[in-house]
Amino acid sequence: MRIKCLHGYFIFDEMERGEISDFISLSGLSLVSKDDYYTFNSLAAAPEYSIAGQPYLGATATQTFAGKPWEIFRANGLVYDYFTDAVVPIASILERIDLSKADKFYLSNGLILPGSLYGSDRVKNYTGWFKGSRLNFYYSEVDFD
Amino acid sequence: MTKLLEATCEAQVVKVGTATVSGAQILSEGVAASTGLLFLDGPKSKYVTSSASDVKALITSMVSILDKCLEILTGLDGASTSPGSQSAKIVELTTLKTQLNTSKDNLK
Repeated sequence: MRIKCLHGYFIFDEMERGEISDFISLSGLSLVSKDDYYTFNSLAAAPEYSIAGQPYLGATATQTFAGKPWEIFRANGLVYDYFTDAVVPIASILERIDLSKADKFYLSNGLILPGSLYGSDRVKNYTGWFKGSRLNFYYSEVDFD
Repeated sequence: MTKLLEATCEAQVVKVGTATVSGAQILSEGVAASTGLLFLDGPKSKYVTSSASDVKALITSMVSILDKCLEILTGLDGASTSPGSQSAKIVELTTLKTQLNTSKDNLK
């Protein structure tokens, strides 16, 4: 299964049948189908616009903006924190990650929380992969702010 | 991606529901209360209202002025015209002109 984290918004693409249900049962996190991908349940109804000062998925938008949910996340500096099941300002993420290089991939301990700190940088986007019957992830691309 | 939202505007304040949309470009005068559409495209936001009711009010005022002019001219053309007989109608005509001027400054 490919996991794309775009500015704190998640897109899950099933590469092999059963990966979504494996992920749900292993992680305890809820995924739902949206358009042609899966995402976290709390992100499924993400509006395609935000108005500054108004609620956006439980957070407060700082920008008036129309676009795809991940574009709105970027414009407003928001990310989805799957630990707390909440959309939060990226600056509120205090998680730190370790990344190690293995062949053509990066390895990290679990699913990377968007906005996590790596040194003084924050994780902005990544492409991760989940495969098999254990909750192991490897990453083909990680971008920082 | 462009989103269209129903919106209102008054005194150059654009709202979607009760939420004020600051920074929206108003493509009309935006003074009098109006309903219209808010176009959102990325960070750009533009408010558009129909000017049909403004035009209708303008035409109505102009017809009233012409009616009053006709009354005055008809009176002047009559055989019984005497000095000062049209003064009341001229006052009404002046009032209509003032109203038309006011509406110019109060467009949607």
